[in-house]
Amino acid sequence: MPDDQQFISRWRACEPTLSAWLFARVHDHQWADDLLQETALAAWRHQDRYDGRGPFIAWVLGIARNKLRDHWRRQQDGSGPHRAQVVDPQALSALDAAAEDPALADELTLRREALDSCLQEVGSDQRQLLTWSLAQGQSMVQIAERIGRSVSAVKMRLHRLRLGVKRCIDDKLGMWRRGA
Amino acid sequence: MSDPHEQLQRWWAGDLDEADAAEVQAWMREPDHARTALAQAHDERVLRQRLAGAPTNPDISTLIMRERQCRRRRRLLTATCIAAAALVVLGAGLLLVMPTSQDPVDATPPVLAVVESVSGAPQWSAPTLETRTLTLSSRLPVAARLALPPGAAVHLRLADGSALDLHAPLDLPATLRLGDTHSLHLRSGVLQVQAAARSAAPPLRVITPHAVCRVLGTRFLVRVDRRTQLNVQEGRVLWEPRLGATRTLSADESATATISGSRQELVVWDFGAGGTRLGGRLNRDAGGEAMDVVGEETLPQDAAGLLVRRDDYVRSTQPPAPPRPQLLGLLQQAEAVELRARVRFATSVPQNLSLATLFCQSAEDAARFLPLRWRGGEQPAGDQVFEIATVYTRDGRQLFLIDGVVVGDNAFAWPFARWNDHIQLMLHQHRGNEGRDLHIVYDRFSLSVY
Repeated sequence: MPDDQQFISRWRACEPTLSAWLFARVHDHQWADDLLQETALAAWRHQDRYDGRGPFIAWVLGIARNKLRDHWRRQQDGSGPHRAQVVDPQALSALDAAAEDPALADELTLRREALDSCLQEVGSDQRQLLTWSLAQGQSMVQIAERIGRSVSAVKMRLHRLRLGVKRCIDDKLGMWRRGA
Repeated sequence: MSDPHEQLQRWWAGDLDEADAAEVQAWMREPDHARTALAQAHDERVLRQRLAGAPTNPDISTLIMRERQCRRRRRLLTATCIAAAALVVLGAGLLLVMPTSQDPVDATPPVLAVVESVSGAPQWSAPTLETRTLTLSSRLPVAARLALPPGAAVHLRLADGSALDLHAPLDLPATLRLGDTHSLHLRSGVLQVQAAARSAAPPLRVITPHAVCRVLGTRFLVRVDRRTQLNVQEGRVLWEPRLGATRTLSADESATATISGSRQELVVWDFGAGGTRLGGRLNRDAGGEAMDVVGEETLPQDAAGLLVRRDDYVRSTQPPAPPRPQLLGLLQQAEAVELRARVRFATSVPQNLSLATLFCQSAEDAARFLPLRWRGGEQPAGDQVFEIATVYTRDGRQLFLIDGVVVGDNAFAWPFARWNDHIQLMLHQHRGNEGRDLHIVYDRFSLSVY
C-alpha cells in the first residue's frame, strides 16, 4: 500500500514549480489548474511506478508533459500548434531544465512569501484595481467606466502597479538574501 | 528584447504577434531567462489566486479523498453486479450478503446545511454523488446543488444557524449551489435569507449571474430569472452588480441587475449585403433530424478565427482555423456573452423547424442541445428575417445559458475554459418534413461580450 503522506508531501514540494511550468506552457490559468489536477491524480494513481532514484519533480513533469500533449490534441484536433504554445525546441529544453532544478522550488516558496508581504502593502484602491483586472478578468473598458477614467489611464495605472509589485518582490528577496 | 517582464505578460495575455512571440522564445533559450520566466509565471499564478481569494492550489488531500470515494463506489457497483449474476445462476432462495455502502453524504465532509422542511419533488446532487431526492433531514455537503421544479420549496438551516427558504415559482425552476461556508450560488428561483450573525467568518454572500449580495445585516430576498432582484427586509446588504456601481442597501430598499451594461460587439461572421446563400435539404441522419447543406459558401478570411465548426448540421467547405488568441482572451474574461444571429429564410419553412445557437465543447455536446424555438408559436415563412439571441453567463468555470430555453438547467453548463472550441448555429427539424429543400441566408452572426 503506497504511503499517501509521503506522496502528499512530495507533491506539495513540487507543486509551485509544476503550476508555473504549466502556466508558462498553456498561458491560461484555468487550463493550468485543470492540467495540474489531472497530473496530480495520475501521479497518485501510479505512484508505485516512481522508484525514488531520480528527483520526484522530473517524474511528475513527465506525467504533466503527457497531459499537456493530450490537452493540445483536444484543443486543436491535430490541426497544428496553437499560437500561444512554446514551439522553440531550445526554449522548451531550457524551461524543462529550469523546472527540474530542485533549487527552483525553494526560490518559488520565497517568492510566494515575498508576494504575500508585498500585497499587504498595496492600498485598497490599488488592490481593487488589480482584483478587477487579474482575478475577475474585467476589461480595461469596464474598469475605466467603473472608476471614471480613460482606458489609457487605467492601462498605465495597472502597468505601474504590476511593475511596483514585481519590484517589491525583488527588493524583499534581495533584502532577505542579504540578511541570510 | 526591450522589457522581458512586460513581453512575457503580453504573450501570456495573447497580445503578441508571431514575430514578437518568437523573440520571447528565443530569449527563453538562456537557462537564466527560462528560470526568470518560470518565476514570473509563478508570481502571475499566485497573484491571481490571492486576489481572487482562492486557495493556492487544488488541494491534493481532497483530490485523493474524492478519488477513493469514486473507487469505493465502483467497487460497490462491481460487487453488486457480481452478486446479482450469482443470484441468477444459483437461483432464488440463495441469500447473498451484499456489501453495504456508507452514506456518501456522511463521507463527504463538511456538511454545510440540513433540510428542515420540503415540499414538491426537489433533487440534489454533489460532485462524485449521483442525483437524489431531497428529503427531510438530508445533510448537504459543500458544493451540493439543489434543483427544484416549479412549485417546489425547501427550508434549509446552514451550519452557522442561517436559515434559507428556496422557492421555485410556478413559472421558474430554482437552482442553488452551496459554494462553500459563505457562498451561495443562486442560478434561478427565489431565495429568502435570514443570516445568522457571524463574527470572525467572512460574511455570507449570494452570487447570481448578475450580482453579488453580501450580507451586512440579517434578512433579505433575492429573486433570479433573467435578472436579479434584491429586496432588503432587515439590516443591510452590500449590492455588487456585475455591471454598475457597488452600494449598500438598507431595510425596505431594493435593486435590480440585468446584463445590459456596456458591451463590446464582435462580428464573427458577416457576409455583408446579400449574404451567402446556403442551400439545404432537410434529411434525417443517424443522430435524428438535421439539415445537410448542399451549396457552397465563402468564409471571409478574418472571420475564420472564431467560426464555427458546423459538423453534421451545416457542413463547411473549409476547415475551421484555431481560434484567435486575443478573441479567446476576451471571451474567457467575459462576464456574459450574447450570441446573436440574423437569418433570412428564402423559401418557406416547414412546420416544426427550430433554430438554436450554442457553444459547444465537442461534437458530443451537440447531442445535448435544446433548441431555441420560435416564440409565440410564430413560424417563419418565405423571405422573412429573424433575429435570434442566446445569452450565456459565467459562474467560475461554468457557462450557463440564462436566456433561451431553460434557466439553470444543468444540461447547459459546460466547463468555461473549453467552451470556445466552436460555436454552432444549428437547425433542428422535427419529423415529417424530410426531403424538403430549404434556402437560408445568414446575414450576420455576432457575439457581444460583457
